[in-house]
Amino acid sequence: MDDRRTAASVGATPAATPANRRPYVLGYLLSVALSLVPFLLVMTSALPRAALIAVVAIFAAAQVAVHLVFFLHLGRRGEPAWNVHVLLYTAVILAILVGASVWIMYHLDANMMGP
Amino acid sequence: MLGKLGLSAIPFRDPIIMGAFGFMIACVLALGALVTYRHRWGWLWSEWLTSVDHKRIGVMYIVVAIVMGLRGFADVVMMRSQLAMANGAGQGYLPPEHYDQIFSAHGVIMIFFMAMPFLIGLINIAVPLQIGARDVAFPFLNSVSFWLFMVGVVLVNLSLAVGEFARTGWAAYPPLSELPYSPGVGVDYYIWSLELAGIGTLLTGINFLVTILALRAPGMTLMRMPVFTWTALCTMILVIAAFPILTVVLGLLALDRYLGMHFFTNGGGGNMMLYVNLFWAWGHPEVYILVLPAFGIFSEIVATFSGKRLFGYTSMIWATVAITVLSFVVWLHHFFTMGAGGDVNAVFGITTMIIAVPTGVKIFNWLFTIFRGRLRFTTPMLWTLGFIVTFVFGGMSGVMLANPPADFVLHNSQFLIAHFHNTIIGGTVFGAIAGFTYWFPKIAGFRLNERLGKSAFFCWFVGFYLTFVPLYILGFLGMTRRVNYTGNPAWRPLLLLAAAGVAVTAAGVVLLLVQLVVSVLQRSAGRDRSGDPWDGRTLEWSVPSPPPAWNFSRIPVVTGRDAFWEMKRGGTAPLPAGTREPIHAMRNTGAGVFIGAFSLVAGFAMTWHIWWLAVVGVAGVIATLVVRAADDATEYEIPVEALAGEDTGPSPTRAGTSP
Amino acid sequence: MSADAHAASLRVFGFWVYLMSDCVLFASLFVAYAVLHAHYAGGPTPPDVISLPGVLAETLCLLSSSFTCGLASLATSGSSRGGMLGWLAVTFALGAAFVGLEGSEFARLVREGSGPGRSAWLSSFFTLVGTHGLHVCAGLLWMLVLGIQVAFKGLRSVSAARMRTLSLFWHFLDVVWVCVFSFVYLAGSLFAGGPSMGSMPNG
Repeated sequence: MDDRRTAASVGATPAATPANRRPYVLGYLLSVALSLVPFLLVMTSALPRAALIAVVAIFAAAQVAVHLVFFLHLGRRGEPAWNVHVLLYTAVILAILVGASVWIMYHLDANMMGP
Repeated sequence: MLGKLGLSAIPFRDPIIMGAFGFMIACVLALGALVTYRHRWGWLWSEWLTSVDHKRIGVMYIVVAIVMGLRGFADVVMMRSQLAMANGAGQGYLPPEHYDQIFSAHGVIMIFFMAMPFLIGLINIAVPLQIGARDVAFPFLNSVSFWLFMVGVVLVNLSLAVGEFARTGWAAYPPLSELPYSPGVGVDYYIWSLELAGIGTLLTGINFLVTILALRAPGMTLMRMPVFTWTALCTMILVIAAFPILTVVLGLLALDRYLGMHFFTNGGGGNMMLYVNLFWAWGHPEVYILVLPAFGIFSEIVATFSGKRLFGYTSMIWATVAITVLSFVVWLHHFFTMGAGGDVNAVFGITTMIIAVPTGVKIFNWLFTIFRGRLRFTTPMLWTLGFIVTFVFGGMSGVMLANPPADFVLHNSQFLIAHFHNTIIGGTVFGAIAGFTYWFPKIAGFRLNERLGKSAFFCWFVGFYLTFVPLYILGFLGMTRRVNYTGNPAWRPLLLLAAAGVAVTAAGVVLLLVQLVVSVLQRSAGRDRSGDPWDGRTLEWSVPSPPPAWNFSRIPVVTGRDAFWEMKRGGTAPLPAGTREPIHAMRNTGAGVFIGAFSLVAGFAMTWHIWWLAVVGVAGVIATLVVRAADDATEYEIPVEALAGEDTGPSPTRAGTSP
Repeated sequence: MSADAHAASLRVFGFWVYLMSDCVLFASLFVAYAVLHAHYAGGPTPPDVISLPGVLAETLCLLSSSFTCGLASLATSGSSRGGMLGWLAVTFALGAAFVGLEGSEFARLVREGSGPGRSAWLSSFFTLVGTHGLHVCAGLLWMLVLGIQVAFKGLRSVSAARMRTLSLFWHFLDVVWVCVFSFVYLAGSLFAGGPSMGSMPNG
């Protein structure tokens, strides 16, 4: 149906030029690095365990961000405006769901399960 | 070859089940005979079953919801009569194996196959019209959603006579729902009907979220949307965030049952509370999915029949958004008693009490809208007044239950039963009936009989209190839920009162059905020629009753809230300025029906362990999607000439159908 | 904005919303994994099951396929049918390699008696990783159908819109994989046998 759009635009499909490989190449190289480093560190046990856990978590978060920005073009001008809002809202839901569930299940386990 | 399926699956020896099933078959056959006699199969297929029109899909949702509501109500009659009889020396007529299936089916049917589809049907009908759109963003997906819902309906109805239903209660907690304790097909019917219908609901959520955000008429900013559209938006946000959790938790239960996994089993390291936690992480947002659209309906009705704009629009919206957000941080209150400890219970108890505040804001806004308004006591307004009183009681009992120490006494008692029926009936059911009465003239082109409507309301109102006040008392006296027999003779009078209440409510149900029949018979006298029978405020009243397929020949330009009211005062109703252009519309298609049919085959086959048939079903769904993707002729154009003079008279139907 | 472009942007936005619901789906599976991650039921533990070199290979396959998918998207916007089909084929091959590696990993585990029915941890491991794998399979099927359509009917605007949503899906699956390899495989091999949620007393 050819409805007219409202002021709240869902944005246009960007006309990417063939020369626009840069985000993809950059994103790819960054992601490879952000994958290789934690893998190699864990496989060689190069750091103490606590440090390895921190590295894994931080690099994972960084790589997700790289994907969102370089592959999914989040926040780039011309991209749909609602996408960022929807993603942020989802992130909040995920934080609550995972965080509260783990908290609840930990307490249930501690109180109700044997030694 | 046929898995576990055999003739022994049909309980020939049980007269009650055979009678009920026979009745269902007789109704279906009678309907089929009527359609054949009137030579309407072709019409039914091309105009309704294959329709991608939100108005038609909405009507189909509501028709099925009403039918399933009658089945759920039959469960009520059986349960209350059994409890009235089975006290002290009496044993009643329903043994536990049967009774357990009844209360489980009652919950599943009323929530998933009556309340949800009724509200989704009303949202389908009204929201695109309210925002000045021609249809939803993805009309084909809308059809798929409906047919996936129908798969759930059919599976639940089949379970009555072919096999059995779950005996676990509507929440199906493990370990009772695991194989050792539920070896039959009941829990599998439960799992597959809800998984498939749940996908349909999720798709609806996506569809309407995009529709509301992207397809509003020019000038309709978010803060100029009708309140019903706002509540629909928030409901869809809840659907998108919550239903995947249900998909996962039922899926994990299925993996335990089918592939011997150990998510929730007694052995192998399973954790049953994981099920409970995830189930209610979905389950609590679900009850707000059930009630928010009702709140929206009441907001529209209150404003219309008080002749005043809604009081406190902005605070109403913020309250709705607050409820949407808060509904995600309260779910533990469904299992306070399971040992999470004082700290966890306290946090969730507090959040549960906080969520009552925005609802209170809404109540006050409705009351202030009525205050100094010019009240018209039409049927929808009566339902609204009944809701305001009744829902407040339900909310108050909820705040009592929100208190963990109190909940330790009241959890799973009749007090809890009374609380949630209080809010669901007072909120969702009253809202659905009010919305049905309110928007009926728009869809059908004629009004419902007012006198019968008012009589039905009074029966429902009296019947509700007569049924559930005794249950609140019984809860305090110590009666638990999900029992088919009570040994305490002191409870008898209360159980009899509750049964009497159901009888009064049943009269209300009958009156609603009679109202429908009488109104159809009297339709010429009750015809709505103006499109605006209630002197409404929002855009759906600016189009003819019933609307043409494309809703608006010219998309209106909105300059404020209560857009239609503004147009009437400014003298520009009903047609806004602008030229007409040809309209691109989507063809009707049978693809949704086929997806539903193949999904039904897959769900039934999975239930009965007929593996080859399940593969056929899944392959059929994929094949239908691929064929649909290859279809290049999914749209057609309505020329401008067809739009001429469409503002009065019967609405033209859509042209052409594509497979 | 033309009707076509408008319909395409609606499609993309709608698909993005669907992806958000899929995030919640995976989050629920992660919750189950987090709760059950040390419930070994006296059976295999992560060191017995996890082979990091294989997972690294899978990761590089999927990541590279994400890159080539991006190149296919660019070819589509540049209206290059040959470029699009070529890069799509490479993407498919890399994705199929991922599925092949993962499938053989699962088969090996089942053969060794470390199947999903052995313990709650293994159930959650197979289900989380397997659900991601199923999504990848769905993406491969989508690529096949889209590729055939473009090969026979040319690169039309509806195909371009479908390529756009497919690439959203494919990138999203790589995002989920980052979380899977980090928290299931890498963290799993670090936490082997460590204290956490506790195990059930009976096996």
